[in-house]
Amino acid sequence: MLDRDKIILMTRMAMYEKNESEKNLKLFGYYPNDFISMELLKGFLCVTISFAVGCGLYFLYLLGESGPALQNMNLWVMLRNILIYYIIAVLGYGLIIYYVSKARYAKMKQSLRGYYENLKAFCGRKTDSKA
Amino acid sequence: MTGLLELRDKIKYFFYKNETYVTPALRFVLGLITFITLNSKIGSMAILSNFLVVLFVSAICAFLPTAVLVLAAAVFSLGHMFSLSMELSLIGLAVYLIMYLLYFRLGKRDVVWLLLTVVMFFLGAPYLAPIAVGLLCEPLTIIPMAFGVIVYYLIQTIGACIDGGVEDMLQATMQSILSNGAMVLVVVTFVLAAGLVYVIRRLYIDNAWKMAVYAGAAFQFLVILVGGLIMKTKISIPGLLLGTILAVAGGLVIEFFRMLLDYRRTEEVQYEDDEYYYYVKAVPKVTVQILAEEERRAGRANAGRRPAPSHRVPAQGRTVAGNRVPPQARTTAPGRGTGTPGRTIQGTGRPVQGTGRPIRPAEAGAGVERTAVRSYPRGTVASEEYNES
Repeated sequence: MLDRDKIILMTRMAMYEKNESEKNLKLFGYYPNDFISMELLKGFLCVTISFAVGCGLYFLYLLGESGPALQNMNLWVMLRNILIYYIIAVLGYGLIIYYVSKARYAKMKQSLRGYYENLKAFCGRKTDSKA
Repeated sequence: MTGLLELRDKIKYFFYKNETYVTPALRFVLGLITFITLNSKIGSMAILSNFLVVLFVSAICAFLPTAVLVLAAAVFSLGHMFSLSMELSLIGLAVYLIMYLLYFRLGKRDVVWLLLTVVMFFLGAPYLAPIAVGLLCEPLTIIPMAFGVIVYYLIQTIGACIDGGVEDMLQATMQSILSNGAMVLVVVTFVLAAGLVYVIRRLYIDNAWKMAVYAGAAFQFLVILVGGLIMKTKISIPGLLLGTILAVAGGLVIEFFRMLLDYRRTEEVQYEDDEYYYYVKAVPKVTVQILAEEERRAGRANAGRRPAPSHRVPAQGRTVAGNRVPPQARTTAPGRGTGTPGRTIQGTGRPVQGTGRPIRPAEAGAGVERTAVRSYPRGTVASEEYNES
């Protein structure tokens, strides 16, 4: 005779394993601080590359718009401004990545907790049925 | 109204029952519209402009995740840009790369909204995008929508300069990305409008969704009009007006399909369990069955209508048992000290204490949704829970 509750439990666990467990178990292998540090490092690389690409686009634009004016521009002032914008971009994006990673880790932990509770309930049912 | 609701239920049931076929069909149609629009605007590469290639790529993308469709659209646009000028394709690639590195690499699944925003622009209903995002999605989806606006202006500028020289096209493209006042105005307006719609539709007020639609549309109209006048950008007032009307119509259609509530039969109850005291406001959905019951009660001419179909299409595609809530679930034993016929909290068997009538949970298919619950733990600082099923 089929146990309806057991089937529901197993279906839920199977769906979780199919959809989310691979991603979550990979995250769960890290301590929270390690995971956040890794995400911050990736974010730092990405924002640096994006900033470099954006600067490249802007220089191309300046070359087209006011090529002669570029020759009179103070290079050190320009570099200083670029550095300031870069630091702002890195800090701002870093803050965003920090909070996003923290929230992701907490969400992953919550969903894994739910999965393990289901697993515990399932194992409990299995023990009861054997008894 | 009953006819419209029946049609809505039929459409939702059709989608729910045939989801395996309908989802790929929708992706195919979206892909077709996207690639045909790209080809009409910036089509310069012969092989990509071939309709058979468009059909083939759309058919492939129909059976793959939606992100692949967006990637295919990006590749299509880069291909056309490459055939115009290699520098142009590098500019396009730079823009897409920045979008990917800053947002899409984080694994968000709402990348389709970038494509939908571009398509809505080309179909003449751009102001629907922030309203749809605000009604249907989380706040973070505003970012792909904003990216969609930037991509639209990029493609639009290239399309406008396609007959001119390569240098003019390059300069115009750079200008459209880096110093386009109209684009900045539209991006800011859309972001704020989507945020406004999201905030209003989540309020605990009657007709929140309708008010969100009207507020979002009015906000966009005013900001773009005033902003355009201040920045001296060319704005077509009839186009703006028509776009706003389309946005309102689209928003109301979304509300009709997604969250049509009957605020006249709002129920407010209070009850408690061992841990919390609950203040619950439940607003029932308008369904064909409920409407037919009301009409019979009012003794109208169509009281002899055949009963509503036994299947019920629940919100968000979740299944119910397939049967209506059995009558015995609606009447329960008298409660204690309530002064009203008391009932039990469905599914728990525990009697309701306090002044409440029970709320039948959404899983029972009672058509109750948008349940606002405030719960206060006994003897502790009040905490608030909001449960929207």
